[in-house]
Amino acid sequence: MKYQFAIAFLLLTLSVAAQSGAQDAESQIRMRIDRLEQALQEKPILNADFPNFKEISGESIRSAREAVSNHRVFQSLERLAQLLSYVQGGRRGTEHLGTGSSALPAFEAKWAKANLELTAVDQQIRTRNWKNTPEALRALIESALGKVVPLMAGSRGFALSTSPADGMFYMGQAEGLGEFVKFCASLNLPRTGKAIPARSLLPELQRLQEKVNAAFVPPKSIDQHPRFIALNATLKTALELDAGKFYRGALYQYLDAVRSFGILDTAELDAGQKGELKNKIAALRATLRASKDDSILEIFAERAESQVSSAATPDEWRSAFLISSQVVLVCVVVCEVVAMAKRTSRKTIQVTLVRWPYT
Amino acid sequence: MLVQEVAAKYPGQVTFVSENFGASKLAERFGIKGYPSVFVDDVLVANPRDFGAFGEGTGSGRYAPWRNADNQARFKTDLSHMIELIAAGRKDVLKKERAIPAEAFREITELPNFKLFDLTGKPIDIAKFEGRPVVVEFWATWCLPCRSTLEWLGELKRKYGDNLVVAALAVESPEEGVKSMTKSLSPNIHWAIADAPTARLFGDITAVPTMFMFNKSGRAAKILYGAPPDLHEQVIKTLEGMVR
Repeated sequence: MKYQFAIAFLLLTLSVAAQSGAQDAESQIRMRIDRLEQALQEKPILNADFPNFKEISGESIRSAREAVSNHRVFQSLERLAQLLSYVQGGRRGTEHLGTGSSALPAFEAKWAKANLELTAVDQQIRTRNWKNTPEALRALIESALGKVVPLMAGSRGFALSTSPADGMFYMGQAEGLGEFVKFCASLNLPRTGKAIPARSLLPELQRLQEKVNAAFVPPKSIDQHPRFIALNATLKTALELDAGKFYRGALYQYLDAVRSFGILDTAELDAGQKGELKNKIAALRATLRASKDDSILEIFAERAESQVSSAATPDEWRSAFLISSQVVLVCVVVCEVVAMAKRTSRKTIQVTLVRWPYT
Repeated sequence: MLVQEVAAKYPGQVTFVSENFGASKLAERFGIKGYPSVFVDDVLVANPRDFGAFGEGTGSGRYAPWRNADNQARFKTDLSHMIELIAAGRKDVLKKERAIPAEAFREITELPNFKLFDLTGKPIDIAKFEGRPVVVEFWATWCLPCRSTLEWLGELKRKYGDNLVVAALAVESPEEGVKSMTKSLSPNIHWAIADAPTARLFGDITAVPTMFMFNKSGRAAKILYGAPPDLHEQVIKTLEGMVR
């Protein structure tokens, strides 16, 4: 009998500890948002190239706060990543680099310093022990880190081909993501289940890329051109993450690409479907909370919940619908394939390309 | 992209990994000096030399010139073959087939005795370089990062004045483009277009920018591939020990 009490007490303690862990993370996120907002108030960013900077950043702060208030931790982090990247980009964009021929060397000096710092962040993350980190947090960290090198390369390209000031914006975006990575790595957010097995998603990514290419025909390619651009960018990011062995980040981006691809052909939802969808998503979130570490799916479940809980646009309904159907299914299949591969333990061959990352 | 394409033909069997030059343990283990290189498991199957070097024509590397579609197709076929050999447990065969000769990547140890004319048509007399450290930068008009390095070399020359010689040699670039790009840059740099024999004198230059640093005696002190983030620090540090 006394053991039953002891077990019940242990379970209660663990449950409280898990909740307080999440609570701590939420507090940390709130504080980070507050700090960012305060910095913007004390030192506003006035950039002629971004006349609506204040409105856009204000709206992003509001939505990040809303997500954390609704206990959508991962969604608030997604928004924080965008916010830090945008704000730091805007901040860097206002820096005066001098005039004429002195501007480029000034840019180069700042770029070299930023690149050294970001390289150090990258090295810290690559050697990090992920044992207690939720898969979703790892996916968000990897995704942000995976965008740093292309942004830095792009920043240099813009500085040289258009103007050093243009390069500063992209460099700032990369720094903002570096800041986000460091913040995520400091979060008190413990893992609540067993990690999912991970592997390269290259075959899946290549198949989806082929499907996207095949779908890119008029009138769809004309009517939905911005969607194709976004979809291709997501796929490119996923492929780069996969090649860099950032498999959780690649899975997160791949699932987002699956969702974006589905939107191309999904009709508007009717009232009946919408009602059903709300229940389905509520059930999905409850299931995910109680299972193994399915937190990468939680990122999407949180997004879907947010999409159907406000004055949703037709696209938000479509997105939530696709998350509840295709994204969940694809994630389960991918993870099952990985688990099967692990069970049969067939050794995979590794092909390594050693390349130059900076030019 | 081509490596990724081949890897994707073997779903579940082959994993594609991309590693950065300078941070790759595999490349370090094999003493690879340049980039790109390709490994199947722990077998080096293509080194930078296989993709050719500046100043060399057809046949200078297994897949050179790399822009040629036939060479790219050959690379894909070879890579598939290598993967299949490993999958069949025949790593021994692959290692034998792909034995990389020791002299595969040529890195020079001394300032070569090159003869070139600068962009104004005057001969570059390297005898006059004697007793001073020399920086030679290989670059191209189509290489974006090269441009900022060239600007910075102008600053470097201003800093060290006559105590340092800087030469910037363009490869695979049209004369007009070279002239137009360099007209606003430092006049104290020896600007020239490197012909094929000159490029070959400097060993295997598989990518631009590549920077050679020679000490006062003409011995190679450092070779920098690409434009790493700490390029300026590395160059200054090396020069501080050489310029007195």
